[in-house]
Amino acid sequence: MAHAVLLVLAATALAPICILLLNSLRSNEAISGGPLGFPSSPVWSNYTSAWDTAGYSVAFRNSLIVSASTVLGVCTFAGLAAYGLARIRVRGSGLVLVYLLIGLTLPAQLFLTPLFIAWVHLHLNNNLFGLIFIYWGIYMPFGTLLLRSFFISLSPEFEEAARVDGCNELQVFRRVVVPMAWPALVSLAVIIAVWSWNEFFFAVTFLTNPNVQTVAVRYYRFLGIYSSNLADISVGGLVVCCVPVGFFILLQRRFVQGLAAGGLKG
Amino acid sequence: MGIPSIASFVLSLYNWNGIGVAHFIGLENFRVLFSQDPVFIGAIVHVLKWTAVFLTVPVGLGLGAALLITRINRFQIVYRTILYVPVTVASVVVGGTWAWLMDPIAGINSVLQAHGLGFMALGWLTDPNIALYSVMFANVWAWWGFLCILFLTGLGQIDQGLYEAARVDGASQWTMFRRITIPLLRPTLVFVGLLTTLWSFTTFDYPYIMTQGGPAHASDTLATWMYFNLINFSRAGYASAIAVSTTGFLLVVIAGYVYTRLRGWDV
Repeated sequence: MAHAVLLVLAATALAPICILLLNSLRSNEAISGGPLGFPSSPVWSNYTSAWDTAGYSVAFRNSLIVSASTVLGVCTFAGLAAYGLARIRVRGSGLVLVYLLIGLTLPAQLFLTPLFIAWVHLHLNNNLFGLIFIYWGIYMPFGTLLLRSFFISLSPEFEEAARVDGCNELQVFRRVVVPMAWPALVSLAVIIAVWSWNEFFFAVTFLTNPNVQTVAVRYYRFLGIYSSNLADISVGGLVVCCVPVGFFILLQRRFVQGLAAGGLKG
Repeated sequence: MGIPSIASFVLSLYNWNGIGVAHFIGLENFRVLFSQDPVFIGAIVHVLKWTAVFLTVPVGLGLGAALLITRINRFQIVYRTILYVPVTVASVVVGGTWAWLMDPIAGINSVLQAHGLGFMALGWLTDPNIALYSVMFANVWAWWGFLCILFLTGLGQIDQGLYEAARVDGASQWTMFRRITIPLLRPTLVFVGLLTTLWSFTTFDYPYIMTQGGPAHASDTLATWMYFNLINFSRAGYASAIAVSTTGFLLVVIAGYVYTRLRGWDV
């Protein structure tokens, strides 16, 4: 009985994606006749037309740059900050913690207005680095809190041993703590990679030049302009999906561990 | 992050298009917002409906599925993975795909009519009465898997020995659920409740992608209305006022949460 219900739920979870898959191989005329149906003969050219003429190749590159940079930045800065919060006794660490919790709960879109105006004045609005900088700010609270709760759970004996052996703080961090924290870092990296890839609100606001748009924005613009080219839209949807879904399926254990640790301890 | 929030507040006191000179108008923006802007009031209502739906439907689905998964012996990881996949799909793709499926001509309606189920072919995104719920449906589809994972983790932390002892004492399934599962799951439930409420108040992606807040502002939320005022109408001060008001609502919610914690609810 339980299996029956779960199978139905699983089917509803996968159905839209399967529809996208099937429709990416159908011709436009076939799709406009009805959304559900098998391709009578696979139209592989849909993929090449979406990749080249629709500019998904450029967008894919942009998304890769943005996601990779975001992940590297967040892991590095959050790692350092979390280590400091977890280990070093500083007077203001309680306040910093509250600040991070507020940063976690208050959605970042509320800051869009001044951010947008500032970015336009600084000419950072159609700039990938400008977006990456914003993403660092948005995802830092989550990363710091997640890594902090992990560092707290680590036994300090290894670090003590390293210090006794003559390492300074940075060396302790680099040689002892980072290798031990590897699972948590991988979890964080996977989560941030998916979030930054899929992020839409800030990307669509700041990236208006087609050359710098990420796949998420490209897909959205596509919905508006080429709304009759349903085949390309289906392919586009798959391009946007493939990286996060693939990432998740391959690394889903790390993903879940990271979410549970960052979410529940919060 | 502190600077933009203060800047947001200051901007809300001005009448500015973002480029020229700003005119200080004090609390005028707020006055107009709360007394003369039906879209804003409508957005508040929509957001409250959104919160009500999201506090019940995805939570029920997630918890139900999590309980079922803990009951079966095989394929647990498979189900868990499949049910979470929609969460990893970008909001644009989810919104775009469902918007296409809900399209009055090219979508599901044509299939329904072809099979004689024409009465079920509603104006999913064109009927002002159900547009908001259609948008919510797409978001629920992509969201409840996340709650399922959270609940699975929470359920996994409950000591199975408690259930054994209860079974020995002759407790029924329902009693075990009520007296063991729910109380021990309470921190997770409260966390989910807080997160859901905060994110419901600021939901943007799905209404923007699927209906652009339409038809006729029937699915506008606080975030989409703020966005339109900033980007389309260039009313930076007004948009800031909306942002500040939304922050005010959120702070009320957070204050309520902090209050219950301080009162020793132990969550």
